[in-house]
Amino acid sequence: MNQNNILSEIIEKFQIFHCVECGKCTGACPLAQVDRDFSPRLVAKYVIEEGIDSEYVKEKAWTCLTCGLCNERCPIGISFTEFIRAIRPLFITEDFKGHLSHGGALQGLMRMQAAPDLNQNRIDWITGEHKISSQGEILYFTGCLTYLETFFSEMNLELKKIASDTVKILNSIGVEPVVLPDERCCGHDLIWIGDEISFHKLRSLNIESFKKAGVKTIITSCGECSYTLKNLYGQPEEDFPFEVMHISEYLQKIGFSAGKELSEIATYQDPCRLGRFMGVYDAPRQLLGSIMELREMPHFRAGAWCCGNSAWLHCDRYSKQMQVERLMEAKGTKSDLIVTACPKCQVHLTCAMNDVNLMQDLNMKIRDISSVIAESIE
Amino acid sequence: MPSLNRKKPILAFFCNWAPYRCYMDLCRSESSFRHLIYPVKVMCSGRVDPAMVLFAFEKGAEGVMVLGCKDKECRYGPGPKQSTKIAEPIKALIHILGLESERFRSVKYSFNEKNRLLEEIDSFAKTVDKLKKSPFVP
Repeated sequence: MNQNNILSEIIEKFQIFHCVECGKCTGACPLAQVDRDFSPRLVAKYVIEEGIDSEYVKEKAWTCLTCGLCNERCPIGISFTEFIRAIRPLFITEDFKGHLSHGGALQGLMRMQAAPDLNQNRIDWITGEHKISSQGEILYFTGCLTYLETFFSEMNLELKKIASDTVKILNSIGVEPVVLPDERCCGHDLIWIGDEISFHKLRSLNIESFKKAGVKTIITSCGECSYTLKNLYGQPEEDFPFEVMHISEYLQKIGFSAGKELSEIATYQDPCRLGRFMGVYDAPRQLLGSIMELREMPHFRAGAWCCGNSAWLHCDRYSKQMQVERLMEAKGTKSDLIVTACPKCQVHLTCAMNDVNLMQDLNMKIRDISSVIAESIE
Repeated sequence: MPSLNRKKPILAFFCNWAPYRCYMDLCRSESSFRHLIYPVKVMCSGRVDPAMVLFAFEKGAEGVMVLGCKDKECRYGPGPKQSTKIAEPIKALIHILGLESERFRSVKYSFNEKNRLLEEIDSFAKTVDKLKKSPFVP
């Protein structure tokens, strides 16, 4: 089957023909606000009219942030981001128009984790104060935290502390989670850049180790990991179902009550995967609201603006502009800190704070929800 | 890419100026070391970023060297400093991936140090040979 037929099938599957060309997607798109060349509506138009040879689609399939704000606005209910994910593998050709940030180093790290005989040193953050087990029903999936902290060592982010704090919270409620030393990347960024082969390798390696540990519930501290494990791992065999929850969802479910109140005022940045893709808006807000004053930015919940990047693609001046605008919104709430539930939001927003010209205006504390909750129960 | 006549391939990024000059001098006088490394010439060692080093490991390199000019001898200015800056994060990253950090080496040369280059390549090849085979298969 040639590429054009595959594309036609994808168009059929995602009902792109139903597009009424209202342009609400473009109106809502945070990227289209700053990059006037980008328009989800035009991507839908050209992909139907010109198919695989469309220069516009070839380029714009990669610039899309996949933040999912257009899905919320579409009156027909077209899932534009899922459509973009489905067509990206078709555009990995010699004429590749995408741009991988950091020279593709992060995607490389993730692909390397797909090697079967790997002996990683990824849990060096575990000390005597963490109680973990090697077999059990509840697993804590750390994700890329160790890699990201090392890779972005210049930014002095405390990403491994997120993992450490999450385990501490779980310990405080009597849960001793399984933490796998040979866990692999969930593969989120690889499947979103169209590398399905590496994604499936990672997926089967991960599922195998979940099985060995006898896992039934997986807890993550990252929106992207939650989304990927829940929606893209599927339930491969009927006899091995597992439940996936973000730490905030899990704590809400078991009726966790946080400890002492913190004096800081916070604003919450909704990660796209956790919010719009999985509909988890209330759990983090309730948890934060119980320990500190929470103020909302003008764009929040389903309308939240993106942190400017996803899957380490196209970090350009438009990303910076989006990040600056988002930080301005956060500053405008007169809060002391931004709380987020995704380490990548933290990386991207911290990077924008290092802007030489705007440093004074944008500098703000940013922390993960796990770290804030862990501080309250200390 | 021509295949290396060696079971444990080593990739070496040479800065075009001092290290590559040493390499060329060495090629004229010695031939014993040629099968040890696969040279890649770049204009400045500051051009080599972590992505390139990681890509080499991903594609099956057992060791990677970055050979640059000495700090004050750079033709462009900040190149050697840049290559020093990336060395630690790269070592830390490959350590997390389960590779030994000795598999990466960043060294600085002047124009007249061909013998030192020969010793360095020899010792690096010996170090790499002692290690287990890397788990990354191209």
